[in-house]
Amino acid sequence: MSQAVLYMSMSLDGFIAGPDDGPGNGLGDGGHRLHEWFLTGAVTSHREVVDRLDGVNREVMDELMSAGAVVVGRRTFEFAGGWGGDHHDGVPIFVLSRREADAAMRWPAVTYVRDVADAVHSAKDAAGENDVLVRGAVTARLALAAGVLDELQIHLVPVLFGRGCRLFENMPPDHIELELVRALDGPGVQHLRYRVRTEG
Amino acid sequence: MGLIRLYMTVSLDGYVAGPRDSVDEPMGVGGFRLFNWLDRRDDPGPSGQVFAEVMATRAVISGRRTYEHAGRWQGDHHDGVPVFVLTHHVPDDPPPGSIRYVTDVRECAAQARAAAGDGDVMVHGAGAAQALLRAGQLDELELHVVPVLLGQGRRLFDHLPAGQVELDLVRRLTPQVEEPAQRVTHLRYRIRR
Repeated sequence: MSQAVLYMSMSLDGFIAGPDDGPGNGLGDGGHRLHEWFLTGAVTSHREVVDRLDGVNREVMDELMSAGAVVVGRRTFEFAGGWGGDHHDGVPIFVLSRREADAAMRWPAVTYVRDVADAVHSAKDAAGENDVLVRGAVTARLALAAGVLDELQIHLVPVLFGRGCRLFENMPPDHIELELVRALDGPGVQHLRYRVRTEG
Repeated sequence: MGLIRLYMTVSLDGYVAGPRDSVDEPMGVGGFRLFNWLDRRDDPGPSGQVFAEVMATRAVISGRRTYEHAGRWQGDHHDGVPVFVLTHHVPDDPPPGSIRYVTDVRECAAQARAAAGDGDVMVHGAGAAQALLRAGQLDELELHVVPVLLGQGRRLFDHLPAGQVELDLVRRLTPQVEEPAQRVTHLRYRIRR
């Protein structure tokens, strides 16, 4: 059964980007610190990133790369240049957006969707038995609020940012119960995997 | 020489209390959810171990809000160890029991270290933690990360300046308990200087 899983690197104080994030500075000032656990030197593709890892960090990134579809917010997608239309292995990409797509940001594997639940359902259909990779903080919050996010894979990085862009912000005051299903210690990062509890 | 260590229960989304915390509702709306793991504090296992370590600290630093919301602990946090309450304005009435008021954060840290001797100092409260972090006086963080998103409330990490502070994980303890709500993750970090 396909699961919609958020994969997100986060500082211990809850930031997923440094201050002043924007086009050309997608991770904000100093935000690359959060990706040091998997980014070693210049790389050209997600596959190349994974090939350089080993141990626990490799295991977790292999899981990410086994996703059969991607759901991503428009902001994250555009900051990443749309990954040139291919996140990994040509899997379908569903971009959450209320606006029409720019001509330059259209690719065969990319579909623009307005509603987060529609995006996740379409992605699950496309992913078959594989999981759906959810990317972007706003998309994660919308998916949580809509009840369509199944798991959160937090890569907790041992650093305090102080300022920047938070993962959990502008949420409704409703408790969402989680279950810790796995904790792994990799070099320079703790991988905490939580399932969103829907029962009781 | 002992360490100054923050012990704080926090939701995965970073809150130490729910919304609208007050003297009447010290954990804010719904915030007592965070303390379910303390049901296991007297059991063998990681949560019991962590709680025993808390109780073995030889001095306490608390923020004023935490102190007031906790009913001033009736003057005794645990075992009569000295409690240093960091406050902007010293109350007119004399402090109860083993409580002392301090207005300067560095002075507060120095007094607590001296009072603890070879033991460790426990820090309690988001305000005190932030003040000590800003002053570079916090040595370690021990967070009890609860598997819940509160959505809103009082954040642990707030009002801090921009600028990265590197940490080293000292240990991670995860109790293997049946009840998912009590399966907290105890993360201890050393702050690099």
